Amino acid sequence: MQAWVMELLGPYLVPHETPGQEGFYSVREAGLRELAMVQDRPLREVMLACLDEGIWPERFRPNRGTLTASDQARLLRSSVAVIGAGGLGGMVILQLARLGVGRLIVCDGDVFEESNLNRQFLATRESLGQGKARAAALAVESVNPVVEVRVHGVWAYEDNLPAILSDAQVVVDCLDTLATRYIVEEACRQAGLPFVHGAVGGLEGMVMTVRNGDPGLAGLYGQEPAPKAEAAESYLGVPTPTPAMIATLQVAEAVKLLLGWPGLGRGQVLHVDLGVPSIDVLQLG
Amino acid sequence: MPLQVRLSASLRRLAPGYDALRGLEADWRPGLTVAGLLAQLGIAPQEVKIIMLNGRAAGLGDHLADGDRVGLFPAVGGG
Repeated sequence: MQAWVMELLGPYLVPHETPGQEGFYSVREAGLRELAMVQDRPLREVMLACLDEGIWPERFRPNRGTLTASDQARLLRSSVAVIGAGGLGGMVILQLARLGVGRLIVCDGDVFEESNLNRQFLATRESLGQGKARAAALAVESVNPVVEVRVHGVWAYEDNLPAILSDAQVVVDCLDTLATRYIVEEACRQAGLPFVHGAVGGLEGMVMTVRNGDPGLAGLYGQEPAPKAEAAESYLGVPTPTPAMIATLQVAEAVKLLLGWPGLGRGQVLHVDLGVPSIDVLQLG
Repeated sequence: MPLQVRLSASLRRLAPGYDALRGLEADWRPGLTVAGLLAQLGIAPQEVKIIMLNGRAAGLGDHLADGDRVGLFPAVGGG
């Protein structure tokens, strides 16, 4: 460890020793804030400097083991667009913020209403009537202030998507109508961005990662999106546990894309049925 | 051996008494296609968006073999 680190962070460093494993230090947020003030640097940069030294910010320490310090730093330098901040999106956004993905682009033109309270984690009695994208930014700020949130309180459509997605590395599809999902998938195809689809109906859901050249939504449902009235959720609703489960799987896929780890393969769709319960992989053509 | 048929989500309403754990069994006969199976089950083809045959995507015109596993899925788009 470099001398400046010990000198500046000494009182805030916590040693961790596990027999048979390599020891390491973590650092509490108070130390990071002091260092940021002394060096007149943003908190995020100070966190990155510590991770480069193998020192884990306490808030990320439980990620260690699954992530290396360099993986964690890579996430902190990453940018993910989440289109839709409802049942799927709210949970995706909160998880990405806790994981330490450094920039989130959130797009949703809707406001919270009472019927969102069963499943949308950003919907609270206080947030009813507020814009979903703005509420997401406030929630992220309260969880992890080093995450920058770009708020787009508008509906995604063909014309505004290129600008909204311009800085994203991965796009997570958290919408609630197939027609708009097709539009976002096409925008991702044109921008060369990977697209992580997630959808729910009743106790079932689907997750699919679409890269350039993959069959994508057309491979799943055909060239034309099914009307909302024909989709499973119009009969079965969207009960509480399903979106959280599918959102978790989408987050895992998004993180694997950011870190270059293998994930769902070409044409593979995860189908989850919480009723049986079962998870299986469907192989498209 | 009968066909092993699994129905997903809202398609289950079309098969009263459907058991999500066991699925349902359907009679096979030589020459039976997926479309023929849907007719046998009383499910309109437009209700079915994804057809899986022994774990791989299939179409309405595909022929079924004795004992095949067939999964039928509606569109799912909620969030």
